[in-house]
Amino acid sequence: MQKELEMLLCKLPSGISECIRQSEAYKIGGGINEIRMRANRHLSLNYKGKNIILSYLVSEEMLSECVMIFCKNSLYSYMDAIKEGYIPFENSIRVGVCGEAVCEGSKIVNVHSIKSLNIRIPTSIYGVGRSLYNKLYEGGFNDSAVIFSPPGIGKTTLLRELAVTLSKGNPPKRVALIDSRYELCDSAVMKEENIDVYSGYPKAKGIELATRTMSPEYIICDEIGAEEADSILSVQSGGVPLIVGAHAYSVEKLIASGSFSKLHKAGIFDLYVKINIASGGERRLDIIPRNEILCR
Amino acid sequence: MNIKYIGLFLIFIVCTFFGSGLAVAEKRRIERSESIRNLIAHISREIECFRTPLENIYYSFTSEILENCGILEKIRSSGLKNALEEKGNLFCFSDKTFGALINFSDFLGKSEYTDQISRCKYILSLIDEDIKKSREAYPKNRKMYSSLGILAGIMIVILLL
Repeated sequence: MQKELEMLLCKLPSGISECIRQSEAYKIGGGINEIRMRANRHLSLNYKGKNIILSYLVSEEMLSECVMIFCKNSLYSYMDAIKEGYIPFENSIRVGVCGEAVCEGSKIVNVHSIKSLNIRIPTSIYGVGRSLYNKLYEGGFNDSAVIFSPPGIGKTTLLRELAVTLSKGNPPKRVALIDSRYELCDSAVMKEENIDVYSGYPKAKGIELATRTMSPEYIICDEIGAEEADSILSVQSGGVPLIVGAHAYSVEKLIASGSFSKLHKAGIFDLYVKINIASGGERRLDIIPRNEILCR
Repeated sequence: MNIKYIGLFLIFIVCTFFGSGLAVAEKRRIERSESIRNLIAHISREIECFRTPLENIYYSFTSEILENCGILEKIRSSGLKNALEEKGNLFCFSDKTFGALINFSDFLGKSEYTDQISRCKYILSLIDEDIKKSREAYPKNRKMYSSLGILAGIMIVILLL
């Protein structure tokens, strides 16, 4: 049974948690990745990549109640995160938020009338990152890597696993984890001796601070975008290897995107790691060295 | 005969202590109200400086007075509104302030931090006013309660004699 899911169900309103407990997906056990709630629509689950609609109709009041639960009855604490489209909840659970935005220019100043919530439940599948760890070991732990895949395939899980493996590997490495969205750091990460977690820091600032002040041997960061590119360039000149996550379907599309093109040309990443799903849901890593891409 | 006088003396003592007890109870109500004021000031500070969630704010606040009367535990377990509604008679707030306090606690955590802080400031001004009035009235009331206790004791004794 998924520990995180069980903890979540204890917090949700009884009607919703009962409906989920009655579902086939729950009874089979394991594999529920997402719970989706939409105002005046039926509750739905994502079970091993399939969308399952349940019988429970989510009212607007119920949705508001859930928002307050995820915000720990303190909306002001989470308003900045809500403007960014999510609410960080306990045990690395992240709740995607969709509502009506109030904008000033291109900046979102407020979000109201929340209509949809997507609760993403982290999975703890260890062992997938072994081949990447071995590759880093072969490179003397000097190589930087970018892990890419479409959303929901397991980048965060892999990054989390690598943080733990590196921190207690042979030799153990000092790892700085830049957890901007509070989803990288779970209970397993918290137990590790060699991991410094920058929770809630903007990625660029977190990378900069970690390099300057914590002398890490590896920096791990999730979902980097254009605004982090400059920061990464300066970090790399400081000699700290990076492992980052990014959304992309293929290595060609990844390096063609604006921010990554800059980083690719600067030779920041030595390894490009694609997460593939084999038949049966098993994750496999396709590790492509940089020089191989240059030859293409 | 002696037993009658001892009984009357005891009645007199009980009435006197009852008067003093009323004065002490009023003092306690003022102290509890001041503690609630401190809690709201703490909430305001924590929201303004750190945007701390309410649950953590309640746990970081300590007050022996509120703990002794069980309010702090109630606040931590079921929120400020429920605690105030259940134990509202333990404070020296006027009806207007108490109504505003219930309204404030109902909205606590349900809006952005600027709104929360302005609500805290407003309710603090109302509470400060009530506490000031109660503090000013307390010496007069204490004397009145003590005198009433003694007078009631004397009257009962005279009637029974």
